[in-house]
Amino acid sequence: MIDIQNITFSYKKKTPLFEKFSLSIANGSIVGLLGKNGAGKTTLLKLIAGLLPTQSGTIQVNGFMPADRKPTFLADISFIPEEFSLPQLSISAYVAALRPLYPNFDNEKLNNILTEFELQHSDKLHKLSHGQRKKFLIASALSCNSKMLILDEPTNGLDIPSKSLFRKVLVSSVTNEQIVLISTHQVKDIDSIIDTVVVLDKGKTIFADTFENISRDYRFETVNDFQTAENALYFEKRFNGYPCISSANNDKETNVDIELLFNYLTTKKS
Amino acid sequence: MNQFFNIKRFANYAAYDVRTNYKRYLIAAAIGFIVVFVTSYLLFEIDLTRFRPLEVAKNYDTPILITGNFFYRIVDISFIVLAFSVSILYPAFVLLSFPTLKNNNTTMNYLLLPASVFEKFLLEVFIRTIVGFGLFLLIFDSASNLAISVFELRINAKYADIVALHQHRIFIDAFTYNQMRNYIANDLGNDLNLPSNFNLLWSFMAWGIMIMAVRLFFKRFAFIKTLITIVVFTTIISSIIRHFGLNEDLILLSWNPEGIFSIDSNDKVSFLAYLSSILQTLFFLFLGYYLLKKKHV
Repeated sequence: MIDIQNITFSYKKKTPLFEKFSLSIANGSIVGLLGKNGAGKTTLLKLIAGLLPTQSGTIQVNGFMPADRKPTFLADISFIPEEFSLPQLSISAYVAALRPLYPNFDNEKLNNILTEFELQHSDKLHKLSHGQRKKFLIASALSCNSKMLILDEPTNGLDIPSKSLFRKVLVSSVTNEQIVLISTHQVKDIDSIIDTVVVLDKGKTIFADTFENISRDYRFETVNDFQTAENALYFEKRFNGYPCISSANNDKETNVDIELLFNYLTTKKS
Repeated sequence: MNQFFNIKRFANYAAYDVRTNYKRYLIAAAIGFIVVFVTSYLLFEIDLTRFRPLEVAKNYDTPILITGNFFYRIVDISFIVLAFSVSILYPAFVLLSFPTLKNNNTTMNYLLLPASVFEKFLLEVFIRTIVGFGLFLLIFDSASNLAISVFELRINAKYADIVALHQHRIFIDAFTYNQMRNYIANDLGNDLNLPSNFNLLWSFMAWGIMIMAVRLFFKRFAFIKTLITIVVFTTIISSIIRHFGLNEDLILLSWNPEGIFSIDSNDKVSFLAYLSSILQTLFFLFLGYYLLKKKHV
């Protein structure tokens, strides 16, 4: 459980990025943290991981205050940053060093994911491409079986087949005990795996709801005529017509177009 | 599980550090070995004139004819190299502490490793000061003895005609720390008793802890920034102490190694020196721990 209450945070000599910011996320959720560049997504993830201190307010993650960085808390959190560095070791050597630090580390899971990602234990980390190193990072993070998995732009640097492989691996690895926080601005990459959407804009939560509620409250459809589209809450012009969002009014549930929803929310806000 | 210190977790973390940083440590050890070897050998070469066989023995630097062979003791050169390398190599190794804090990516990895702040700090202190200093002594011993052996071959080759004529080989005494200890005691006219030895080791550790604590203030270019800060800091402290007419021995962290050696364990100044160095070390230990605890990305 992540419980953020009235936090204020600012980088040095800058106006606060978060002011009286609150958010709660229950266990068993795969949360898509969406927002434009500079919305505060990465900062929020760092605050949750205890990598940054709040100026006021409280953050609790599974009963721990992240900023204390207690070892039990750290053993139960896996963070995949957008930019990362790995030591100049082979995969097997690095895993051998890492494994004892994470009590729930699952070797079999690691082997399976590495096979899916076509990585060998003998591969040298510093000789892999950025995408391959990211795949290894994802594999090792998932194998730690941490209660909280934080992924910052996980699909950046992955090719198209790897993106779908990433989705498959993530969904098959995550349990109901875990919280997965995925921050991205490439909403299409994660729309099929997340069950909760949180949209940030300028340090504020402008939207937070489950997929279930979104599909109950909104109708997503593509219409061909401009008149119908104009009556919707939001529409865009695309090559195949006018995808639009309307209130659902107890209609039949439609597939959520997360990109459209994101554009609607950020446009509405501004 | 204890969140402050747990021996199993500490051991796992130490194993992680060694496995991921062993190349860095090996490179540091190799550089240390090469520097000591090259410096020793060069100084032997510069001082080549002393290795003249059959010269009348006046002191321990000149040959002593024993069982038909010439023995040379060159502990004074070893002392110069030891003093030079201990004041350059050891601080350099300590200045390179917390290598993962050099940029945001590696800092993030480091801070998220499941070990307590105390365990992380303790390991760095242990590796950089205790293990680092111990390893340095071992490296110095082996590098100087290698330099001596190589030079011995060289000198026997150089004076091959004399050696052949008199059927005397030229031997250079192997370097030992005991020999060095006696040399220092003799040179300073001071018996290096147990408290003095402890003083010496303690002051190197105190020195290392201070450097590590100061290093934690910085992120980028930490090596050079720490070096400048330490030089400025010790100069100011030394000047203040001199200004007030106090004994310089009060600061064990002085850059002057003679100051460390000359402490007499029996007088009041020594007691004050001990006390001040313990207080300084504790202060820098707490400061280092606090700075690491407050480290963010």
